[in-house]
Amino acid sequence: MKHKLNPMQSKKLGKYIAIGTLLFAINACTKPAAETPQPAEPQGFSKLEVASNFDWKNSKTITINVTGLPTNEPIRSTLTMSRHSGGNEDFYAGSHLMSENVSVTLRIPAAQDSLIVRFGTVQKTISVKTRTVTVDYLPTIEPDIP
Amino acid sequence: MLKKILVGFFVAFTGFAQAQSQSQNLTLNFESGNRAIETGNCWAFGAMSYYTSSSSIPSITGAWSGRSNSPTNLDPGACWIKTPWIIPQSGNITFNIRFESANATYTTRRIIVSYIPVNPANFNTNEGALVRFDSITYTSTTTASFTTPRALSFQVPSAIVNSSNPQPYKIQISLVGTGGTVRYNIDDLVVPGTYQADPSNGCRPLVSRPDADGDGVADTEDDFPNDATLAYKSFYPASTFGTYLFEDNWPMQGDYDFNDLVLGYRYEYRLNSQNKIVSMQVQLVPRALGAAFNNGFGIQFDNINQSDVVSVTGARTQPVFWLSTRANGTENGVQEANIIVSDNMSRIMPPPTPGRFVNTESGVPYVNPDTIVLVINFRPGSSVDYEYVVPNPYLLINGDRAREIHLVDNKPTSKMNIQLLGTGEDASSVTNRTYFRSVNKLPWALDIPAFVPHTFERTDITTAYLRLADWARSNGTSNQDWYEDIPAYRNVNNIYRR
Repeated sequence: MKHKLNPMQSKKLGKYIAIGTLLFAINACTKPAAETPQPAEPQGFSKLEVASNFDWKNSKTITINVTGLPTNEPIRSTLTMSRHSGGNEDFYAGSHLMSENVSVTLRIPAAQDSLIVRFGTVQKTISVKTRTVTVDYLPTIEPDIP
Repeated sequence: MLKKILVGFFVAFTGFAQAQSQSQNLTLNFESGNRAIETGNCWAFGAMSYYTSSSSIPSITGAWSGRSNSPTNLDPGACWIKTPWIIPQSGNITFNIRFESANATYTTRRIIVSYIPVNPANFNTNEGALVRFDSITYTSTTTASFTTPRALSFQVPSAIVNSSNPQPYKIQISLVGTGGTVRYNIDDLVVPGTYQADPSNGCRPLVSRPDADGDGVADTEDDFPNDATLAYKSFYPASTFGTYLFEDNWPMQGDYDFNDLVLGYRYEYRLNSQNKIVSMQVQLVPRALGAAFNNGFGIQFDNINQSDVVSVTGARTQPVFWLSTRANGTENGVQEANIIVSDNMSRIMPPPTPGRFVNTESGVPYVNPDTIVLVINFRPGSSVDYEYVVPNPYLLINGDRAREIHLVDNKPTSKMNIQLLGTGEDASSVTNRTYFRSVNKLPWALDIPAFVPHTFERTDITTAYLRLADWARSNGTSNQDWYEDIPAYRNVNNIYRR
């Protein structure tokens, strides 16, 4: 058996639907107060707007100044600057005295944030977020006794 | 006085005052003021620090002295100073020492002098067991705290002095004790012996390492151990191939699929033991030719004079009317070292089907890339420095020597018709030294320091590399890794696959 509405009930229901639709419509037209900005859709390469001085380079040139450590005897070894420790991945490899101040200018990927600098068993990880970086061979020591 | 003169000398000329070996003596005067400097030179310290002179604790001599912790036991490992490896000589180990305070109490204070032989089985330090050979003990019942420095002297034991078969040893001065808080101050340590440690090799004993070619670079570090003219390889990019991507419709705007020429590259610089570049090997792998033109490819080294080049091998050129090379392989008429790698890349990588592009369209047979190996030898003694060998790669448009496409702001070669610069949609300016930028500031070539796949034919590169636009709009400050294979960085549907 199916339930049927009487004319009065039908009228009331119609009124509710109309009010509900109106409320929905009003709400749908209202912009949320704090809308999250969405990333711009790609417009195509030809539509890109870039700074007039943008060089489109994916590499950067950095200068690494290595402060030598005065040694009792001349100590010569291989200074390397690499992306990772180990492996055949040196941006630079050269023979130097440990006491020598060395300045090396390198081209590395712009996305590279750090480099491994090694001199024999001495190894340091340096940040290369700036154009000029200084590194030395001094070991990290425990703080002095108070 | 002598100490002050020496200190002044080293500060003036090296910025460091350091422990130094003079004739047959190794000394530690603390005047560097930085324990890390001596530690870097293989001295070692246990519960010891450096201090600078003050009214409350004056130094013994000079501006700096050493200071122990308050020892709490008589073990030689309580507070100590250890020399680097030395070849001991006969004589006396001497130093000045005092108690830091006359008022502080103590029960026992003892100074122990020991030596340490080599034990190769101890891989980390090569140190053998500690051997005590002398000591002096102070007790509070017999000796009041003394704050006036005393010069102590201990004879080097004859057991470790062997002139016929010298062996390395370390000397350890231990400052130990029980009861009370009296610390030691120490200065002017002199040990008879010659320095024999290697700070570049974990401070192990200094040894002569095999060097088969005698170029001064040990075989273990020499990429060419049997060739005295070569020692090292350096790379760009370091661990991978890079990628050059070209549009060839210059000076007009292209479709920006950046696949008209796709070329993998890796530069290997070969240096001698004086860190000068002797030669280069350039590997070039043409991977796609999405072009109707028969384009060539060249590299100019802007900072290298052609006369510094002895030879170039590996270029893939055929006789064409516009190409003339010198005997050394560089292009005639260009003062810089300029190398035409290929007059026509289509000959190296022919289309699989006439009229179709190479490796940019689906449904077209894949063409296996060939590798061009270019070897450039520099004139001996030309003193070519690594940092000056920066490549300036360019595309030669359709057999027209006068038309080149370079990376943004890389200058054209002297063979380029500069009258063409600034025509069409190109905004190059010789006056401003801005080259190969469009009026909309866009490039015709990209250099990516990684192996990156290219797009399908006529597929805008920004629809494949989703962070490229953000990188460009940020002036290169954000999304610098836009080309990497990272989730949400690429739309693989727009990237060419076989």
